[in-house]
Amino acid sequence: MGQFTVRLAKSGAQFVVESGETILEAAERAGVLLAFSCRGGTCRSCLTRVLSGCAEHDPEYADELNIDAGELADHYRLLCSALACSDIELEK
Amino acid sequence: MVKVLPASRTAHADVRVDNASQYLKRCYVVERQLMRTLAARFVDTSQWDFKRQLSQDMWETSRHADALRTRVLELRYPRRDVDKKYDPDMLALVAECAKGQDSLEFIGGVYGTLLPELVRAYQDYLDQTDPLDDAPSVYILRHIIADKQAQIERMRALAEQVAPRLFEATAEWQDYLRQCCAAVGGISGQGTRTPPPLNHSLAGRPAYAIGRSVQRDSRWRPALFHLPHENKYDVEGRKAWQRIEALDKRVAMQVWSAISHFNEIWAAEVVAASMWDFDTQPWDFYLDLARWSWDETRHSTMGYRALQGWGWNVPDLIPWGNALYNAMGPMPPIQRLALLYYYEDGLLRAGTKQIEIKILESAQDDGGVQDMDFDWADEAIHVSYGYTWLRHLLGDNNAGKEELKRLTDEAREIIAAFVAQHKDDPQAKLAPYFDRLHDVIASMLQDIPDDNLDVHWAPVVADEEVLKA
Ligand code: FES
Ligand SMILES: [Fe+2]
Ligand SMILES: [Fe+2]
Repeated sequence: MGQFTVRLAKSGAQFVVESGETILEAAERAGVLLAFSCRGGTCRSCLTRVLSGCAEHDPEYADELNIDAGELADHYRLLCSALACSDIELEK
Repeated sequence: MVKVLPASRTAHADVRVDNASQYLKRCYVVERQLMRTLAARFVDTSQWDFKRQLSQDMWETSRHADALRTRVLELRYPRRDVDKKYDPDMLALVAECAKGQDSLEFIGGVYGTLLPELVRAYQDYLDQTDPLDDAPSVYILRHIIADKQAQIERMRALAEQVAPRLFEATAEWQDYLRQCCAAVGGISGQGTRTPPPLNHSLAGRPAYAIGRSVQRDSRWRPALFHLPHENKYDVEGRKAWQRIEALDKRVAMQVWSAISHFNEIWAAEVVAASMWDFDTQPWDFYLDLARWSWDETRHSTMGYRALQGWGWNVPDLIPWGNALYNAMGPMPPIQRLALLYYYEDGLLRAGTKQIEIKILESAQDDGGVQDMDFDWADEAIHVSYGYTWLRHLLGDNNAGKEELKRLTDEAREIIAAFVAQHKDDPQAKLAPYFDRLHDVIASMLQDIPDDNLDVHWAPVVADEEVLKA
C-alpha cells in the first residue's frame, strides 16, 4: 500500500491519497471541495460512484454504513469512509 | 426454629425490583404519551413563543422517557413487553390532557397539573427507594425532576409575558385533570382512588385530533412562501429579491440564510405530526423524530435570533410562510416524511451548507457562520434518521426503494400543483417584503476589506424543478 491518485471525472481535479487515509480526508487536505457532512458514513452526502479502480470501506465499521448491497455492487462508495486500493476515478 | 442474624438494616418491604419496574414503566408511559402530545400540540400552536417552548419541552420529555425505559429494562422488565401493555389509566390520563380546547388551556393543563403530578410521583419514588441499591434510578429521577421543575417555571414566566392570567383562566381545566389523576390513584397509582369526575362540566370531550393545516403567529401577515425559490410564478418577488442580491451577494446570503432558518418551522411541524400520526413504531423512531423536530425548531429560532439581532421588526419585515406544511396536509404521513427527506438529502449532497458557510465567513458574519455550522451538523443526523426510518417503514429492499421514489415524485407534483393553484393569491407575493427589506438593509451596510471570494451563489434549492418556469 502506498499513495494513489484520485481523479474527478467531471471537474478534472486530481489529488493524492495516502495509505490509511480516507478519500474525503485526502480531498480536504488538497483543498478539493467534495460534498460531505457527517464524516461517519451515515448521512450519505459523500456517496459517489467509483468509475475505475478500487476503493473499499474501512473494514472497522463497514457494516455500520448507510449504503446498501445494490449500491455497493454498482460501485458506489461513501468517500468519508472509503480507502483507495489503486488509482481511482470518481463520478464527480 | 432456625437460626439467623438480625437484619443488618431495616428496608421497606415494597421496595423490590419488580415493584420498581412497574412504577417506572407507568411513568415511562406517561412521558412517552406526553412527548407525542406535546409534539402534536406544538403543531397546533401558532403563538411563536409558546410554540418554541413546547418543542423544546417535547424533546426533553423524549429524553426522560428514554431514560426511564432504559431503567425499566434494567430492572428485569420483560423486553418484549416494554412497549406493550401500557397502563390504560395512564394512556387515558394523557389523552384527557391532550383535549385542552386551545393552546392556552392545553398549556394550563400540562404545566399546571400533569407536570406537577409527575414531579410528585418521582419525588414519592425517591422518598421510598434505597439510594444505594437503586442508585441508577435515583440519578435519573433527580435529573428528570430538575428538568420538569425548570419546564414549569419557564412556561409560567413565559405566560407572564405572553398571556398573563393563563393559569388563572384555565383553573377549571387544571382542576378537572387533577380529579382525573386522583381517580387513578395518581401517577404512582398508590394514592387513594377517588371517583372519576364524569359529571365535571369539562368532562366528556371528544378525543383530540391533530390539525392538518397550520397558521402562523397573528403578529405576522399571513404568507404562503418565504423566498422566491419556492414560487416560480412570483416574478415580481424574484426581481425584488435580486435588488437585495445586487447590494452584495454576501449580504443576500446573510439575509437568505436567516429567513430560511426562520422558516424551517414547517419541517419541525412535519416531523412532529409524524410522531402523532404513527403510534406503534419502535421506541427509537420517536426518540429520533423528537430530536429531529426540536432541531428544526432550533434552526428556526436561529433565524429569528439573527433577524432580531439586526434590530428588525421581524413580523413586519419577514415573510413567515405556511404553504409547505399546508400543501402536505392531505398527504399520508409517510409521504410527508419522504418529501422532507428528499429535500434535506438533496441539500446536503449538493454541498449547499459548505458553500453557504464560506460566503458567511467572507461576510465576517460570525453568528451566521456559527448557526449554519451547527445546523449543518444537525442536518446530517436528520438525513440519517430519514434514511433509517423510511427503510424501516417501506421495506429494506428494492420494492421499498421504488415506493420511496413513487411517494416522493407524487409529493413533488402535489407541491407544484399547490403553488400553481395559489399563484395569484396576494399571500403568495413577496415583492412588498423584499422592497421594504431592501431599504432597511441598504441603510445598514458597512464596508469590510474584500477577500476576493468568488461568490458563486444563487438560491440553492433541493428541488431544482421548482425554479424552472
Ligand atoms: S460524509 Fe456523511 S456519509 Fe460520508
Ligand atoms: Fe434544519
Ligand atoms: Fe433538517
